[in-house]
Amino acid sequence: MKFNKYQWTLLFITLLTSAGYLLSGCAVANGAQETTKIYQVGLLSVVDTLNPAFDGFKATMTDLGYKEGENISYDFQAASSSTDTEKIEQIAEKFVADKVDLIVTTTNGAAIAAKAATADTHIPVVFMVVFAPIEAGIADNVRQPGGNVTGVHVPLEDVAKQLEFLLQMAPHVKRVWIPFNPKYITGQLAFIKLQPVASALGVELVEGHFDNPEAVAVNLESRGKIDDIGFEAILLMPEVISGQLADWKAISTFATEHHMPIAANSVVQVRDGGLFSYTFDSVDIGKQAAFLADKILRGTEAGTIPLFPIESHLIINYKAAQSLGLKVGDGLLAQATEIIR
Amino acid sequence: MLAQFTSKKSQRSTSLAAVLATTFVVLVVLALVLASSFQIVLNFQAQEALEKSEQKNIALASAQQVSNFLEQIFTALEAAARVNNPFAETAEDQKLLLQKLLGLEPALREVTLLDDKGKMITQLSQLTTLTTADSANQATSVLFIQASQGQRYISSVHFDPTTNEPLVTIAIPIKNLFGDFEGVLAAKVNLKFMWDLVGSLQVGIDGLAYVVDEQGNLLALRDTLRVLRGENLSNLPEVAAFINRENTNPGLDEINPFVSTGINGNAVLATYYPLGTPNWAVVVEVPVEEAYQTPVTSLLLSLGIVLVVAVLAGFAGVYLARRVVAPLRLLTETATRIAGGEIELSAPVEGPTETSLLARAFNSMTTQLKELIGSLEQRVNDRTRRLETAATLGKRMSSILNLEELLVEVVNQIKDNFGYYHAHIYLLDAQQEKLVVAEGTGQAGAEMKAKEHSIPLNAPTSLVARAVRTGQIVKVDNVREAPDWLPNPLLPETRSEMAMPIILEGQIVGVLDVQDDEIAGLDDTDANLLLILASQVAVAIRNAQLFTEVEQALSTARITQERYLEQGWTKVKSLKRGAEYLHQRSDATRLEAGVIAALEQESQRQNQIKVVHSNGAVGQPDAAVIAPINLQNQRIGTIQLHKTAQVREWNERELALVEAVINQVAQTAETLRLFDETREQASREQTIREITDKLRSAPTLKRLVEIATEELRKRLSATHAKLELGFEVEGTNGTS
Repeated sequence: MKFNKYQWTLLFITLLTSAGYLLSGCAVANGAQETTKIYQVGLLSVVDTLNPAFDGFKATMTDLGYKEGENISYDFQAASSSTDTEKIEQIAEKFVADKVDLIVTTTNGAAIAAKAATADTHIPVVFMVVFAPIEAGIADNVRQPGGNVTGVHVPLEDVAKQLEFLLQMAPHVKRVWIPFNPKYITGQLAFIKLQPVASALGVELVEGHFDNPEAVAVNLESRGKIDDIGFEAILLMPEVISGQLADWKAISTFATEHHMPIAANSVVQVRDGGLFSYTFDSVDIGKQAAFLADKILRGTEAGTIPLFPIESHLIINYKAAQSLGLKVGDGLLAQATEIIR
Repeated sequence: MLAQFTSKKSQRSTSLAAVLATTFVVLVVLALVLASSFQIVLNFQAQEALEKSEQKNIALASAQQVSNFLEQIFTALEAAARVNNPFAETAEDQKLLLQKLLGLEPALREVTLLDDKGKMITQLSQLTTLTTADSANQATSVLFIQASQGQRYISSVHFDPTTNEPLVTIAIPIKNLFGDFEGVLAAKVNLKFMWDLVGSLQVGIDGLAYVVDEQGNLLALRDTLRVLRGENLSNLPEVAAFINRENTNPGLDEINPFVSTGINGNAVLATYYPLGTPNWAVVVEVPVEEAYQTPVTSLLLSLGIVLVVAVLAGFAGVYLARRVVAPLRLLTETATRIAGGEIELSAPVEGPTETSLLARAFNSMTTQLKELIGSLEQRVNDRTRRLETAATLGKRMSSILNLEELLVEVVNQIKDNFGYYHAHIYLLDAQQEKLVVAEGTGQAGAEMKAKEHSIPLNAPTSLVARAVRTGQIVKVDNVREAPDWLPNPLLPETRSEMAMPIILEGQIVGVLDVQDDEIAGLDDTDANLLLILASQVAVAIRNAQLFTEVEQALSTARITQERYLEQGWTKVKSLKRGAEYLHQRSDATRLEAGVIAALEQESQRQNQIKVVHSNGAVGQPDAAVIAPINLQNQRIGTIQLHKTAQVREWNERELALVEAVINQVAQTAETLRLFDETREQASREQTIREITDKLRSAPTLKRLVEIATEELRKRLSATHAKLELGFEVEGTNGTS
């Protein structure tokens, strides 16, 4: 079969159109292919009781499509203590030197260190478990934190509610021991929030100023040797002196020995003998932080992403209350999101 | 030019197969496009309506879920107030009730119990209650007034200064069993707990829903960070449509989704549905590409089908066109080969009925064409032979200058070469009154010529006379039926006749008449042939006439010349200016003068050189050559040469020499005579010129007369001369 000029033209047009369709299809297919980039994320841990936040973060990141080893890589670095600011800063600077794509931190101290280390870079910082970020100088405001930081923050006012719950469960308490490091801003601010409530409720706040956890243990040991310990309950604020599990152990052991309730400040503590905690869920914080990180990795400036508030939940260790001979009312039990029996 | 145009036109011409295939494809594609267009439009409209309807239903369902969120809180407050009348309980019970409410509904941030005067009885908060002392008395607040009237209250949205979370305050009236107003149960609701609800709303695949208040503030969105940022979306057309709606609670039919800019800046199909109370709206949007995916897919599918069918139609069109055209191509090829000379070919009869019929018609036409070509070739050959004959005849006629001989040749050649029954030529007489037979073929022609057969021009029954009168060819296919035909008994077989006027320089000089023994035996070809021959005859006649005239002129000139020569030599003779020379060899026998004179007379009688033998007398020359000396047939002298010494014959060479010499003598003598004549003429003219010069020098008339008279006297040797000018008037004496 021999084609003439017109038949060739017809065939040419047909093939051209088909090729156009095929090419457009290929173009769409090619467009769907993106260059696979492996994001380097530095995880800066300061308080091991908050490490579940990193677990929540990584799990949610996986749900959002960031598969570890495929398109994201985590560098988990932990400082031994919240007071070890030098170590915290070293870790932050290491992340900067490694030119990670993102730094995720817990606690105010780590957030401050990370912000300082990345000040002259474009490395974004997502913080978790930060109290009073405005007052701490970490963010400019809630709607637009500014700079290269954003994160999940916890209302510091919850510490006052913590004192109310303590007195509702242990109305006999007149003196509450508040150990904290006065040099750590979170402790300062939290204590300020506590004072008017304590005054209104007619309870004395016994301040325990410590520079390090070892000093707490020494103080408790010495207190245990005298008849009047000086307080009937312990309230742990969101600060650094009691954050590590080892530090908590010293306090909880002392409280157990002296049949004394502890208003804990973490889920770990309440599960380990604390009377109750009114605080956030670390895993939930990690989950919310993951959403922020995802936005950042997709191109949004960190400083333009509003800070995300996290809710506190009441967890009551009913078993501890019974061992202490305390009666927890139905109203409190109704408000609790979890009751440990 | 016509050839170029035809060539260009043929270059631009399109093959039938291409035209058929293209037409087929165009028609199929056109039909498909038209049909598909209607279907596509209808499908598109149906799909669009379906998509919009679905989106409105989603918006309605979303609005109901958001309403249920608030309704659930209202219901919880109302149930708590109804089951346990707070004012019938103790303070502890009241506190317990509020604690249970806070525990039951996490969205409640704070719960407050007011009495019937608006005074706060109890307040419980997720936060510390110590900071809300300013809400101790709500007697004048809108919240209390509206609740005291038995209505639910819901405030506008405000944002927590610390967390920027949206909050709203709600309140319900508390009544006893008798329905009496006893107080108000108010609560602050954290709308953050609505976020999960709104975020979980499924709107298509990539669609989303969000909640805005009456000012366009974003209250809930899957991307909660945008809510926390406190965005106001009143600039979005769909939100603006909600804010600026005329009907506060429009029905589902009054809401029409439209293409707009979505909350993410992309093109979306958007709609809103107001909750009524509170004055919020759920806005639902679906990306345009998703909303119109089905109609667009349908459109692309239809286009793909059109394309595929067009391609198939193209190939089908080409196949069908080639099938239809193939027999035509065979036919064309056959026609081309026939045109190239293969006239014996015939087209194959195959293919569809129409092309088979065409092939049969073509073969029939080819057969007829072959016959026609054969006939034409015969006619062309005949015509060519006739033209060649006519040309040959014309050439021959041009070489014949004798008119009579010419006419004989013409009629015979015409009759013999063209197969006519008879041919003859009439010429007009000098009086231009009748036609006289100049020449004719055969016995009939000879007899008519001998009888000087003639026909008057005004003869009514003569075809040749009519031809002369009209100046036009007269052609009669059947002479027996022609009224003006006069039968000639010498030509009994004549059936058709053609008379062609012979026209010379616009004048008819005769008629060329041919006759055939068949009816209609003479056609237009004969007429054209006779026209050519008549023209050639006319020219030949003219040539013959001119030749005769020239001959006559030459004869006259020759006679005049001869007379001139005769006069010239007569004058020479009379003036005795002739010359004679006689030579007799001394050793030879002298001839008698009488012999010489006799031979001279004899030679004058002869016209050519001649050898004259002696008569045997003693002393007579044995042989003498005598010859006249002629100049242009004019005898100007004689010569005689004798041989007497011994018997000797004049050979041819000697005679030729003699003849040549005497010719030269004649020529030279004429030259000398002309020279003498010329010299004499010149002398005379010289004399006249000299006398004239002298006459012109005469100063007076008397002197003039004297010079003239004296000169003439001297030169003419006159003994007496008198010249007189003027005549004396009577009484007057002249001068001498």
